[in-house]
Amino acid sequence: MSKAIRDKMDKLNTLSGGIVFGKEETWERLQGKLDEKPARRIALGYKVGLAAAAVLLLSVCITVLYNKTEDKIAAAPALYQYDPTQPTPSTPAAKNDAAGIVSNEPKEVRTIKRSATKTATIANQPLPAPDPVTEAPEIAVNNLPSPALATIAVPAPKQKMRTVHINEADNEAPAEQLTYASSTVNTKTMKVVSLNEEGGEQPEIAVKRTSRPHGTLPFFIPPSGNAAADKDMVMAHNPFNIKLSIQN
Amino acid sequence: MTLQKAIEGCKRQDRLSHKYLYDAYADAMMMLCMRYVNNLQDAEELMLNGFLNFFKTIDRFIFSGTDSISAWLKKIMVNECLMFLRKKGLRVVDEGYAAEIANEDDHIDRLAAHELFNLITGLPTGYRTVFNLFEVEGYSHKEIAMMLNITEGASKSQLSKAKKLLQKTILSHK
Repeated sequence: MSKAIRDKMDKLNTLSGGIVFGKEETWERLQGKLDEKPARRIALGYKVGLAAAAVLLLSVCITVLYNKTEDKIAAAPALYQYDPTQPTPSTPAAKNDAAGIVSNEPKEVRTIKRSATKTATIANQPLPAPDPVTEAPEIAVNNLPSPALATIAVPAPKQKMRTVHINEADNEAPAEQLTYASSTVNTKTMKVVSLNEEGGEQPEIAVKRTSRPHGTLPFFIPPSGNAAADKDMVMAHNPFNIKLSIQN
Repeated sequence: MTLQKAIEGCKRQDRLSHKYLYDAYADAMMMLCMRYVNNLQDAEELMLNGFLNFFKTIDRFIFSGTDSISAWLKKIMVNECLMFLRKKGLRVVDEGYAAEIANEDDHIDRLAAHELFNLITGLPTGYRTVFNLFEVEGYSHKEIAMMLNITEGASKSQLSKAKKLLQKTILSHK
């Protein structure tokens, strides 16, 4: 059976019912496909070589750029030269001065960058009158054209405060007035006498007393007009048991 | 031009040789593809791809007579058809062992080529494929099982059912 069927099928070259397929059209299409240039395929070896060359070129470029950067850093003048004999500057301005570098930026102004929302909140609220004793110096808020950033200028104190040891208070001139923005301080000197030294009563030590609000600076107690009461007050604030006397 | 010279010309990418071989075998290959896919447009596409594959791999072909070209081309066309059917989702379900039907050559021998062709193309895809591979192309059930990724039993079963259906159809026409 198989042979008979095979022979019949092999001899069949035309479709039944007069159906003819487009032989010439199919040949034209076949010709077109035969004429198509095959896709260029790069051999694997060439691909590996190209990749290696690209990696090598990249590494060379990186090395050259790195060396150039190193040269620039080496050629740049030293911003700060450490001198062990000199005290270390504590501020950038002092550092610049030590190095002999002149900065064009104003030294008095320090800028703190804050977000626009916080700046707007601060800017919209009226600033309370600053208390020179308890609060920091007044902060001025600048409205910048750019909404993204705003700077707050913090003015530096006008005068540097001088630290005076309590034992040298007798030899010191009357305390300089603290020149905060809008305050002056009345001072009264007060002697501090130590009870701990042998020989009985110790010499009295003058302690400067100011009329600042009570509770902020323990050494400065406002006078009440009553010497005894003032003395009691001083003794109450005398943690080291130093004999104090008030000189008005 | 002879077939051997045409083969040599094709190896040299001679377009006339291509045309000669195409004209010699296009009709037969078209009928082969029609037996598998039963659709004119699909059969044309498969035949075109088959010839393209043949011309591109002509260097591997060794001419050993007229039948060698026909056998080589048939192999290529059958592979193209099977790949197409696989893409379309041809699934041969193993429906269990079916008793082999005794060959009744008389009925089929009496049929004309066109009638037989129409009967074969009228079979379901699975039956038709196994019938074509076994009865027409001459593959064994083992080879068919490997080509279609089925068991030998499934191949035999499909063939038996195809023959049963053919006989039923033939008898119904009488």
